[in-house]
Amino acid sequence: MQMSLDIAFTVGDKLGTPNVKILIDDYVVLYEGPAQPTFSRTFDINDGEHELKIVHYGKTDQDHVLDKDGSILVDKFINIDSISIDSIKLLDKELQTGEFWPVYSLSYVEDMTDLPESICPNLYLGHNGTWRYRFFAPFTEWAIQQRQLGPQLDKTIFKSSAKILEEAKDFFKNAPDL
Amino acid sequence: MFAVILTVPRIAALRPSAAPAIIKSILKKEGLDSKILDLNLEFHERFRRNFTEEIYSAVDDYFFNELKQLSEQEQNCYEEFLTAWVHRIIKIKPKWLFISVFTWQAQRFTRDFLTMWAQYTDIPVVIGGQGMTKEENGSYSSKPTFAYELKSKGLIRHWIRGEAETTIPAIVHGRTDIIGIDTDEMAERSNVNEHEFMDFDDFDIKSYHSGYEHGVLPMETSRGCVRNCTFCDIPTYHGKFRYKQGDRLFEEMKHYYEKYDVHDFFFHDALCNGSVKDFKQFNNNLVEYYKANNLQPRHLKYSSHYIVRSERVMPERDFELMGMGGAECMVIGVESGSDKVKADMRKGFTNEDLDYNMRMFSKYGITAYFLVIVGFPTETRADFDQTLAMLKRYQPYVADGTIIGVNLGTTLTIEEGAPIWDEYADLNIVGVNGNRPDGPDWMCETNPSLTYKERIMRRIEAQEYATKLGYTFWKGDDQLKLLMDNYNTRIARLAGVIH
Repeated sequence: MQMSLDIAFTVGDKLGTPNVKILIDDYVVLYEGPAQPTFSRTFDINDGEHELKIVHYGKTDQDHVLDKDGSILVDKFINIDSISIDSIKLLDKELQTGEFWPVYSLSYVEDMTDLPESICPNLYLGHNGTWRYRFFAPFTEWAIQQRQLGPQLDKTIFKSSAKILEEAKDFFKNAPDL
Repeated sequence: MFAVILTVPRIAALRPSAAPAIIKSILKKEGLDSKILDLNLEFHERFRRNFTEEIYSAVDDYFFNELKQLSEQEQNCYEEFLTAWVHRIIKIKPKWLFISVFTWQAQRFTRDFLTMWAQYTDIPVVIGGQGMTKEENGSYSSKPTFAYELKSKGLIRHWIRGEAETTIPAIVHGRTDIIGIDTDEMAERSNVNEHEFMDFDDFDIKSYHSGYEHGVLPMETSRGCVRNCTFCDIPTYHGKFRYKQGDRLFEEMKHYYEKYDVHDFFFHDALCNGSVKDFKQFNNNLVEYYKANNLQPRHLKYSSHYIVRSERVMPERDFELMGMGGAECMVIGVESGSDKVKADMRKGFTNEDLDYNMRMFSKYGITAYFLVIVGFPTETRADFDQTLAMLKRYQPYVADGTIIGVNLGTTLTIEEGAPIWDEYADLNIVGVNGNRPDGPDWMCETNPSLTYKERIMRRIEAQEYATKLGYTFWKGDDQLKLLMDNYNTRIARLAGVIH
């Protein structure tokens, strides 16, 4: 089946454009190169579970500027602003299930202790590393199921059961045409 | 105490009802005290808690299923509830009892309650509301048959046909000889810009099943409708379209927010955007109010019935303003996926217009709730397939949360007061067994395969299909049960079991 993917990024490019690689399931490379503010692509995908990966790569120790206190003044980064799959925009809470697996630079590791192996939620890809988001295809049906949409209203009013539907189908299938 | 005002089962206990709050405000203006009691909420809450779920469901079914009989145990529980409330109200010693009969589904309770009431007291009763007639999908009838029945049994002193604003003051002053009181004619219509703000002091607003932290209050933007859809009786029932000025509507909402700390509102009239100019003014006032008070956009939110407008009438900026003002869920009479059927219905919009509105809703965070009519007389199988295709086309809007539900109804019925009631011949509609077309009893001579059974089968097919697509249904079970009950009644009638 076909699936569309649209991503909006904020690209921190004052120190040069960061590099990004966008993949599905490790082997389907949708894009590799300089990050742009928007990415759109339609591709083929099989039914079932998949993983979207957004990889920030090629950043060096020179790609950020610190002030005298060690805070970042200017950074090379990619921020994931929004993702839409099959024209369905991921909710904030869904984006926040994406997990970032940073590859820390040597100098950063030397300065810090207890660095986490992965960060979640995190949409700011300041380090090199891979952001991962799991989803299912077909996406629309999965998203509806996941979101369990429907107003938070009285179930006596929004009640619609398979049992009554089947009962009605049987009833009318056998009913005379009046 | 001048009056006790009742809301009675069976309606959804989602928020306080407007009618009692309107009556209370009218009485207050007259310098009279009153007390509102919501027996509908009591039924859905206390009755349900005190007895078993099975008994609650049985009595709930009894309210809208004429063939339903209660078991001895269910009847005892129900009578205990009725008796308790009759005595509780008598203790308040009101001079009058007003009952808002909002829907025909409240008729069985009202009849039972008043039968018991008459056994213990002669405090006079006045009833009013759309439930004084029984129309499956409408509110209008040339005669308030239920009111006649109660009056003939001596259970009520008066009925009110139409608006409380022009009739309650007359009753207060001892005048009951005006149009709208004990008449078939509708009461004189009021100026909606002169209405008092409703009085919700007696309601525990947060106790309703609204799903909102601060509860929800009803409001109205207008009475009547700007359109004249063939199947709808609203213009007949409510008269010429009358809308509140945008400034006035905003002031009213602000009043309820400041007085009751309610942030969410439901406009229960036919449409909020009948006057696009005033609707825009209302949204603009909300946005300016937020800015002036350092509040976030959408601090207050409203849901409403809504009519689809073309891009020319409502450009994108209007939707942006709606979104910022707090438009939450718009209930839209989509009715059909076929432009031909929509034109026959005189809906006044096309699929292209609807597509535009849905794009705007999705973009500006406004949700939609669809009303669909299956089995309009000119609906062919191909037209119905277009309705199914529409549900499929809009599935992404279900996934992104723009469409929160759909009401598939109980198929097209021909109701008194609707244009189709008088214009049926224009659509080649005939009645059944030599009678005039009435309710579901009709056939279209140019579309003969659309029997009542076929309409119901399509209705069921639509629910089955939309279920697979992930749609949520309003009263899905209730409507299917109602269709089966009605069909059983027809079978019994044909067999001569009932008349």
